[in-house]
Order: sequence, then structure tokens, then C-alpha cells
Amino acid sequence: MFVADVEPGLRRALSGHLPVDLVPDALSEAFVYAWVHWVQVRKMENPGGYLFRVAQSRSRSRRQGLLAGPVPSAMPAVEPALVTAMRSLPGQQRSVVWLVHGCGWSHREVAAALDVSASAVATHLSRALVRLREHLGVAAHE
Amino acid sequence: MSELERSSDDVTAAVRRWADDLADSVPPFQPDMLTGREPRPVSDHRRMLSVAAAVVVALAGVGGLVWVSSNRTADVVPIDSASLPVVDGALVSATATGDAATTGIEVTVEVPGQVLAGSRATIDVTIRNEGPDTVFWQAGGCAIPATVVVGPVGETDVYGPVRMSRDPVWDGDPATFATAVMSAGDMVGAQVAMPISMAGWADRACGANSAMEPLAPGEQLDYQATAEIRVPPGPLPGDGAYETVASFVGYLAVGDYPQQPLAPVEARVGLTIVGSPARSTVPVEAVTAPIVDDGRLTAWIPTTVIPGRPDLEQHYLVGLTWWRDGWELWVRPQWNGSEAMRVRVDPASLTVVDARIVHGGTAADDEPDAAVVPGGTPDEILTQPISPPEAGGGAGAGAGATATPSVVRAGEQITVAAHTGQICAGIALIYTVTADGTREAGLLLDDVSGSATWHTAPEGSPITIPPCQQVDQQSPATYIVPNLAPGNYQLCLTRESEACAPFEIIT
Repeated sequence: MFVADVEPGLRRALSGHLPVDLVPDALSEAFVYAWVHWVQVRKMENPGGYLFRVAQSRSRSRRQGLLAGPVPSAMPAVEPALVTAMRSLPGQQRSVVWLVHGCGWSHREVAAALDVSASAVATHLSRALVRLREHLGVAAHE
Repeated sequence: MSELERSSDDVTAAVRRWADDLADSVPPFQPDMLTGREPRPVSDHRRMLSVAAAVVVALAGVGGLVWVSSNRTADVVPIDSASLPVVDGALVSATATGDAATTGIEVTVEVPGQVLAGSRATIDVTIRNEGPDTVFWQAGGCAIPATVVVGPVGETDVYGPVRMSRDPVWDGDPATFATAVMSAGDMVGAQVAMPISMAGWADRACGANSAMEPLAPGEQLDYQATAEIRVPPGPLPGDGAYETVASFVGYLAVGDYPQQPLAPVEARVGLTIVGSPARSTVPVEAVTAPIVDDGRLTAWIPTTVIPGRPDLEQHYLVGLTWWRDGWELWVRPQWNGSEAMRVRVDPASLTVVDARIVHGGTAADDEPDAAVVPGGTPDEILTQPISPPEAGGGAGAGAGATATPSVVRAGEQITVAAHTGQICAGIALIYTVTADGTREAGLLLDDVSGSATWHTAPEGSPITIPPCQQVDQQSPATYIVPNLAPGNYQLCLTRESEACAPFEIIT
């Protein structure tokens, strides 16, 4: 039940932080940790966010932080320039955009997962969206 | 711009679709992977990790205890599994407002309420002028508007580096090393947080000058700082009861600096340091003994003697702290202290896993969140000296690798494929081949970005290389040929001579 609840969101979050071929290993690491520390993990308000940090810290790949592009065979639903724009963002900004808009996490959840303050999340997000808009040539939607 | 996105709302929607796309491309995790009923699609060492974790769970279930694996288990105190901490990510904040004497300056400091020992804490400080007068602040040097200190409650006025003792405490004698480390541990207390732009640095050289900036009524300054919550072996300092203090000093006029400051406005908020689950209570000697036994520290000590100055008897600042899930030792010579040795010890096996010289008071190059120093000197990673391959062994016929092309110019690409066996990940050694035999020319070392950088040793010195992590070569490795003199060389992908490819550099 726990895995069913947490796994989809965790997989989604990690897929924006690691190359997709490393995500299964990272998921395994996270759930092994949860298993070992079940007494604590089950009491957590946001276990997915905590396990995201666990998976990050235990994924010692040098390729951490790389954002994979959309699956080539998928429908062209993602603006190609967005991939370049996202990859040009500083790592923290890219993570915040991914977790907030890609995964639907709250600022507080992202703050806990990235070990930054909620105000820093808001700042990163704001700056990232400005840069993405500039890169993509779009105006803020009022 | 395509037809797909025309507004920023569509940008965020596109990110979501992208996440949908990627998440769907990853196979869902199956819980029974943990039980071993199905083969796990992961590498061997990770499978071993799962098995080890399952054993730990079994032990916990039987005995209620989790033991930290160690080759010195007799020295290691077990941790009660029920007491393993959980870090609450909630933020806490405090605001202090100055009185009339400070013209209504308001300082707010915000930190996580709990911080895991050995991790970095981020501190947000806001300074707002709620008074009627413009207040000036000293913005020279690094333009740091507030001093931020993190430390045990009641000790935050003791500013000092937490990595190392504040005074030299070790004479370099291995016999006194453990005692010196214990003495240094008693000094681990508060530290001044660094600006985010200097994350990981031990020192900050911010010369104050007369550059003053105004803070007009209604305006605010935002400052983000970072502190390394390093703790020594043994109980947490202050039982983990820490506080963060942010202090702002303003001036009513530019000319008041530095003689006539306004009274400081100080905001103070408590936070709790919780012990890392992996941080067991080990005696200091259990950590210092393998460092001495390893030999790299003791081999480095004689190199720190100042030539021709017998009057400068060398002593060392030392510090052993828990940092990023392991024990980390820093040693800095009292004289010529521009370099420090950093040693990391794995807490489970109590073995040295990394030893390096770090230059200039910066973070080590492997510190993931550290600020990069422009033009900084790369760390010197210390390994046991290696012996070059025997003359001809690996070059010519029967070589264990092939270079393509085999005749190149400096700056051109060369691709090397190993024929058999395993290679060292991220390491390529180049040897000069002459009639007299081979000698080391240098080392191509993958950096964190995955590209290789060229390292050489001073003339006459053996080159040091990182430990070899053996892997199967998945695909031929491509390098930029370093700027070496024309001649015959061989490029080796192992520390021995099994995978060496001969090649020639021409003009």
C-alpha cells in the first residue's frame, strides 16, 4: 500500500533528476531505506519527499542532475525548445520547476526535499520561469 | 515557438507533460524486488545492498537493535533502532526589531527547525527598514549584510571554524594523533555561516572598505547563507540544541563607519541537530587508528616542513567531524597553511576511502554543493605511488588496447578501446616510451562533468592517481591528446599494463 501510494510520485520526481536508466536503482535504494527505517518513515507527513532525498544522496552517479529529454517516440507534446531551455537553467532552479510544475509538489514539499527554505523555492521558481519565458519567447499569462 | 506553447501557463503545462512522458518510460518499482523473489534489475553491488539491508531488518526485528557494520565492532556502540531520528523539514523563524536607537531595523532569520548532523543548513535572513531614516550598511568586500552564526545554544558568540581546531594542537607525531583529535573535538562549536556564493569554503577573505549602501525606509535586504553542521565524535554538542543568530549593524550616515555604529539588531532562533542514522557512537581511536595505519597522512607530514627554517617548528590544526555520512578529518599546517589535508573514513568499515590535499581554504573538489573558486588549484588526490609498466610491456604487439588513430597531434582526439579485462573508471595514464623504457607523463582524469582533464606531477615526483574503480569498458574512450612533445607514448586504462595502447604524437 505504501509503495503504491508513494512510488508513482517518487518515480516521476526522480525521472527529472537522474537519467531514466538509473531511476529503477534509485527507487530500489529509496524503498530499501524505507523498509529499514519503516518505524520512522510511516510517521512522516511527506515520505515521498524524504525518500526523494534518500534516493538523491544514494545515487552517486556523476550524471545526477541531468534531465532526460522526452521519449523520442512519444507524441510531440513537448516543445523541443523547452528541453534546451530547462537544461540551461541552474540545477536548483531546474529541480524546483520540475518538482513544482512537473510533479505538482507544494513549495513546502520541495523545500523539504531540496533542503532549502520555502522562500528560496519561490525565488528559484520565479527566476526560472522568467528565464524559461525569455528563452521560449513567451509572455507571462495574466 | 511552436503551436504547442504560447503562454507561460503552457510552459508549465509542457513541463508536466514532459514529466508524464518520462515517468511513463520508467518501469514501476515492484515491492517484491526487496524480498528477492524476483531478480532485481540492478547492479550487483546494489543487490548486495538490498540483501544487507534485509539482514539488518532481520536483526532489528529479532533484537531491536541495528548494528553498524564494522571491522572494529567491539568498539562500536549499537544504536537503538527506535531512536533513529527523523528530520522534520519544517522551517522556523524569528524576528527582532530594533528600538529607536537602531531606527526601526527589523531582522528576520529563517532556518529548518531540525537539521541532520553532517549536512548543510541554509539560512534566510531579511533585513527591513521599518523606521523613518535611511540606514547605511557596510557593503564592501563580500557585501554581507548580516553576520550569521550557527552553534550550540550559548556558544554562538564563539566564532570560529568548525572544520579544524582554532589553535594548532598536533605536533605531527602519530603517537599523539588521537589525543590531538580529541582535544580538537572539544573545540567544535559555532561557526560563521558563509554566503551561498562561498558555500563550502573554510575561510572567507572579505576586506571591508568604505563602500556603504543605503537601506531606505520601507526597503529590505535579502541574504541567504549556509552553514556546515559538522559535529565531532561522541554526543552531539549541546545535546543537539543549537541556535542561529543573525546580526545586523547599521550606520546613520556613511561617515559614521566604522566608529559610530548603531546598536546591533540580533534575531535568534533555535534549531535542533539530530544525529545521522549512520553516525554511531564510536571512540575517537576507532577512527584515528585507520587513518594512521593508512599511511597517507603520515607520509604527507614530512613534506610540510619549511625548508631551511628549523626555527619554524611545524604544528597542525586538526578536526575530525561527521560530514556527509562519513568521518572527515582536516589537517592544516601552522606554517605555510595554504594547503590542508582532508581524509574521509567510511563509518561502516572504518577504512580510509579518500585522502587529498586541498588548496586555499576552499572546499574539496568532491564537495557537491560547494561554490567553485575561479582559477582555484585542483585537489591533489593522494594514492600510493604506482610503478610504471615494464618497458615495452603493453606497447607494440600484444598490447591490451588499441588507439585510433595511432598517430596524432596534440589537441586532436584519440579513441582507445580495451581488448580484454576491466579498466579503471575515469582514469587514463599516459607514459612516455623511449629506448630506456617507460616513464609517467601524466594522468587524464574525468571530472564531475564527465570530461577529462590533464594532470601531471612535478619533475622527478611520482604521479598520484585516485583509487581504481574497476569496470567493464562499455564503449571506447575518447580523449583530447594533451600538449606533449612529439614522440612515442602509450595510454593505459588500468594501473597495470593490461590495457595499454601505443600511439605517436607528431608535430
